[in-house]
Amino acid sequence: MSPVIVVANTLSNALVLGTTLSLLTLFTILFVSFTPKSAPYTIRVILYVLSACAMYLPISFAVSVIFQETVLRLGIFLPLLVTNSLIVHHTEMRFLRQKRGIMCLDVLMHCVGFFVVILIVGLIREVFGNATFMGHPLTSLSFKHDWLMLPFGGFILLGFLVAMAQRSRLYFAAKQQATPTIEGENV
Amino acid sequence: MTGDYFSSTLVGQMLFSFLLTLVTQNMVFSRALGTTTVLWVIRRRLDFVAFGIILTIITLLSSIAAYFTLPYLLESPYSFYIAPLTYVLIISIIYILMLLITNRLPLKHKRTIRMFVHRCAFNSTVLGTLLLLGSEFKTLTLPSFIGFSIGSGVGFLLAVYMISIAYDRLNSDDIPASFRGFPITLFYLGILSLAIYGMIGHELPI
Repeated sequence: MSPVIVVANTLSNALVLGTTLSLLTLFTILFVSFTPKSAPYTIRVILYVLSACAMYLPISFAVSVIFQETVLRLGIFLPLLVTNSLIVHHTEMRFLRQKRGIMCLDVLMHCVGFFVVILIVGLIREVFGNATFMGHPLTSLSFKHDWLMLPFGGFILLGFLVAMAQRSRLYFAAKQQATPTIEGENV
Repeated sequence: MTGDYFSSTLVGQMLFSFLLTLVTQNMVFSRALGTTTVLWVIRRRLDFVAFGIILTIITLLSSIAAYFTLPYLLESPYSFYIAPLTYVLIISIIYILMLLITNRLPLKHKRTIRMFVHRCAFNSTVLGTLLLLGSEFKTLTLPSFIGFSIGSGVGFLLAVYMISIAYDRLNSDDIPASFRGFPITLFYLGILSLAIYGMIGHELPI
């Protein structure tokens, strides 16, 4: 969450962050799915994070070749992705408990979901916080809210996005409960 | 003793770094590091003081080890790429040592402490502290490293405390259902973050 709050304040930052996170998570989890389940938990977790660090080498190298300036702007938040909760906690608690095919799909969907959210956060913050799009000034916008570029703005924006997701979840749950079937049971 | 003289002493350097990380460069409020863990501790209503102490110990030991490793790491032209691997290796060793010590000591709540050690080790607060210290290595001394890492851990503890005192209200029925829980907590964190930003007056280097 911290990289999204602090550095996903432009679309290019969000693009690099999202790409690195998705590739790192996907390949690391696919790789560690071959870890023997008989190994103690401590060793398994260490292997997950070390594998993420090993995957980080080629991925960060490729990303820094393509997006040289953006990578510098991300500072410590790019290498910090090796300890993201998808790798450290969800791998053990969720992904490795599934069959490999389903796991691959689940990890892929998680990565896509995270990527989309990071892009949305980056886009909103850049357009409304900096009045630019991919670094190009948007002359049609006569206002800009600088606070959106700060970590404070990241917290507030993410709070609104989570609230929207929560609202839609509640709405669909209520709708589902209100839909009667012939037998009077809920669908 | 003048302020300048005191800040040049070993104790002064340590205290200065400690206070800096505790308040103005608080890991949670200024860089959002460890936010997920803060919320995890509060949601589960765990003993956050014990958690904070364990996190501080792991951060402190890792940063001391990093201080002696960094000169060799920074010699490499690829230090940017291999830094996470080096730090994770250091943290892994500390992690295993902490678990071994926990198992050996006659502690009352061994299971809880082990769970805390598991959760603290690969946490963005610990790795983030090491990455920040690594990026400022040339300007920092060992006492600064010690002060900075203790400040990170205690700052985390302070953040957990400040969120925990409001958490029940943030989850009460007075809050609209869409905002209740996680979204409003993010707002609250944002406001605290703004307060810290107001105190510093500028953005921190990342």
